[in-house]
Amino acid sequence: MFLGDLVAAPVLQDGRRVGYVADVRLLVPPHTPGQRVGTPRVYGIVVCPRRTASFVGYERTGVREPRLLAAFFRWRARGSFLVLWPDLARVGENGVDLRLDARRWSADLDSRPQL
Amino acid sequence: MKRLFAVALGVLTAIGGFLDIGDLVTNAVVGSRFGWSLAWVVVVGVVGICLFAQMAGRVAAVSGRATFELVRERMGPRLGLANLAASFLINLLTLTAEVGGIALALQLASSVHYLLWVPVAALAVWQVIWRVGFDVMENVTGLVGLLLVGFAVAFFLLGPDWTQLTDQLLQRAPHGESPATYWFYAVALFGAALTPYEVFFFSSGAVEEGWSSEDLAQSRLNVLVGFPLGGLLSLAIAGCAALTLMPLGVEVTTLSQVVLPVAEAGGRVLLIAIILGVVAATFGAALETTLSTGYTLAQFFGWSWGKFRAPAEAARFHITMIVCLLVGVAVLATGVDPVMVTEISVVFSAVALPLTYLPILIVANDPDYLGDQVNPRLLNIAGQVYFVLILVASVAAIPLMIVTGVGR
Repeated sequence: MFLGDLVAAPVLQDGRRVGYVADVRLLVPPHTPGQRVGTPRVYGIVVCPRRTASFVGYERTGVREPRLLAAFFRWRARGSFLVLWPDLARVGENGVDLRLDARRWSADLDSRPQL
Repeated sequence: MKRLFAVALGVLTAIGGFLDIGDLVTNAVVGSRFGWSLAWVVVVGVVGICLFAQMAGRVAAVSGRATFELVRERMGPRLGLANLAASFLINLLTLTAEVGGIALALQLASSVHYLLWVPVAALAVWQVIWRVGFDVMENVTGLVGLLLVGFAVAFFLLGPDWTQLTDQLLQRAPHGESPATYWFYAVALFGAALTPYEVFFFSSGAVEEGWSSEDLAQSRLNVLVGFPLGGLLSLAIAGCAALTLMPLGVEVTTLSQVVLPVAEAGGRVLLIAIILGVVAATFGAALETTLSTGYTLAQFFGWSWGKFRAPAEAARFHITMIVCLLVGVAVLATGVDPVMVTEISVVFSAVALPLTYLPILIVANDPDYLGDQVNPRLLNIAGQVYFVLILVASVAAIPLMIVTGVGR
């Protein structure tokens, strides 16, 4: 399965549609045994109740400018939440099923400016 | 001394490089029909291009990312591709207009039909892109383009009637045109001042020239001094047409009418200078739009790009440019009027502008790209006001074009 198949796929819980996959969060561990660099793992998916495209970067709490645009994009993605990978019951052709007890985390990302 | 020379060169090339066929034609058309009634749009447009170029230049200098790399990263593949398609096609239209502009200017100089000049112009553009270094290319076309100062000379030689021009400026003089045409040309003039390729080129040029944070002061000066002075030349072009053509009821439809007031005011010498200036300005803009076709595609798809690389190391970048030049030549070969292509290209520029303005405005605020060089508060307020203006112009452009029958 490709990541591209996952993005925008419908997300179901208990047979009801709760939203669409807006983003996929990856975790890159510092080391993977036998490799120089870590292999990225899927950490969780961001579910947005609407079929809107993305946060355009405004999921990072440190980015709040320009005010009106930031407010608009955050408003457009309101109600979004993060579900960790173990909380997914099934990932298939027709979308993603969440476990009944799947925990909904905040979709915000702490951002610390680094260059 | 060397530093002063570099600053002066930067500012002068910014003035000379500011005008292209879109500015020349649109300002003359507007001047001949509305006088200076639409001069305010030039001012609004110049402030806009200063804001936009300054942000794009800073993002490119600090992060090393040019416009379409940002579009791809920030908007995602799907929306990004729609953006690319629109921006690329409009840039191709502008490229066609610029090559047509070179050919028309050479026709004025030689009396040889412009269609014979089109392949010559395109070949010359390609040769310069293939062989000449970035700095030399920019400086030569920019400095020769400074001859367009002749429009300002002609304007003063014509002895402007300031009370009449002020009346037009303050909308006290009737211009006998419908409100729809007035606003159509307002949008066209706005699109001519804020052509998207200028920003693709400006940000990619920053990467080509290897700018870093230390070059920001120079780049800001080039933009903030050079572009407004270029804007004054736009006003002079409109003023010349307002003083000579408007009283006679002549509406500009050809390039020869654009330069007619200059011939009347300054005779043969000034006319020669202006024609040289027009050739340099359109040639410079043809280079910039051609490079922009390569920049946009290569940056979006992640190909290696740039004139600083040998053509063999950036093969797809160079092939894109060659193909686009050939498409431009093919379009002109149908005999379509280059002035008409120009008028349509400036309107569509206004349509496409929000697509590239928005990602730049967003990324100019992103500390992950810019660290502590993000937009200051005041710039963001101005940036957002302009976003609204750009959006309104974009939405209004096509309906106005249809209602007025392209301003007829």
